[in-house]
Amino acid sequence: MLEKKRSFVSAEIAADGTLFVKEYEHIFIDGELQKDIAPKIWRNCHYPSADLSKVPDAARSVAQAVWTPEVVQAHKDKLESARAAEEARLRAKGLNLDGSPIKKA
Amino acid sequence: MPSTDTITTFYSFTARTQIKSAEMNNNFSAFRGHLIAVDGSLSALAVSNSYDLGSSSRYWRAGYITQVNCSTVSASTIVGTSINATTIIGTTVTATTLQATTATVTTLVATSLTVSSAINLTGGQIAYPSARNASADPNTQDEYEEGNTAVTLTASTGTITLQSTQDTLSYTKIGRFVNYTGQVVVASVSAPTGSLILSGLAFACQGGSELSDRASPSLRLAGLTTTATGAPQGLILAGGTSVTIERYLNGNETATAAMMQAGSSIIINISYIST
Repeated sequence: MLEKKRSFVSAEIAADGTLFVKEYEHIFIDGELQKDIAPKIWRNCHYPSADLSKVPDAARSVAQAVWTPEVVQAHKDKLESARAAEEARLRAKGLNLDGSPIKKA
Repeated sequence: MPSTDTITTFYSFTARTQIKSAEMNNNFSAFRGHLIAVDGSLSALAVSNSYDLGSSSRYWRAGYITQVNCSTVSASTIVGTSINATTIIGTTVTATTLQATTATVTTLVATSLTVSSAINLTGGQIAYPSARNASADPNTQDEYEEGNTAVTLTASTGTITLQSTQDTLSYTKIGRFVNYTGQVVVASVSAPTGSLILSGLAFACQGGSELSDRASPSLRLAGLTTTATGAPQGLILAGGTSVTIERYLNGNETATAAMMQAGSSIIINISYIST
């Protein structure tokens, strides 16, 4: 039976708390590691407050130590700020967020 | 050999010849110097329990030598603080500094390796460590990696959910340069409006001078709502791990999230300078 198993390689934290997790995906056939098949690399990005249920334990412990309420709030503020800036830009052009014209009352 | 006129007991050595201390002091004092007398005219091979300094068929059991200056060094394992030779042939060479006109080795471990001519990679591969050893030198390449990353689509308001089997991009990273390709497909939406953001790139975009860090992807959008118009375009900014996907419409960049629906797809190809 062919199986794909991932093994943790590294976790990096960016200045804004974004977590980058690198894993190797190895191929097993009948439980035996296929050494002649090179492992595939997966490198995934997790923003502060992201769901960590599928993240390796080592990476999760790093994130939980760094993702303080202040870091999570800063991330949410950044998203809200970007959304508000986009909304203001569109309204200045007489458009709603979906790009439709603003109806005058 | 000491002068024959001072030798009174014998004229040649046999294997394991021993010299008594009294005779050493009286007749063989030359052996206490730093020279070993060798008859260079002899061509016969050495025999067991002897060392033939002129033969390639016999080896010293071990040598502990401060400095070796050779035309050719050939060994299974060569370990040295500084190895300097015209030709080095070894299975494993470990050195702090290695200087050679030609070096043929299976494994080379060196703190500093200077090659003044082309490197001939008969194996055809260069391997980098799994964790990047970043260099600040602009002339030094410090990474190569091929991998995959799962991404998401978000809107300013509402939600966009990708198909779990079609949410992956492939990337190739060479030094600080990274390129992504791939297609993602929308599984479902819930009233998305505003900006359309593809998030979760595996490397952050590096800040550069002025606006030199900015990059725009090549995009193909399909399966959008029937009211969608304009040409697709996008943007990634310094420090970002996401691409804003827009449309060029009526002379302006235009928000695109509202154009997405179940079955919408995005093919993307983007390159940028990463951290």
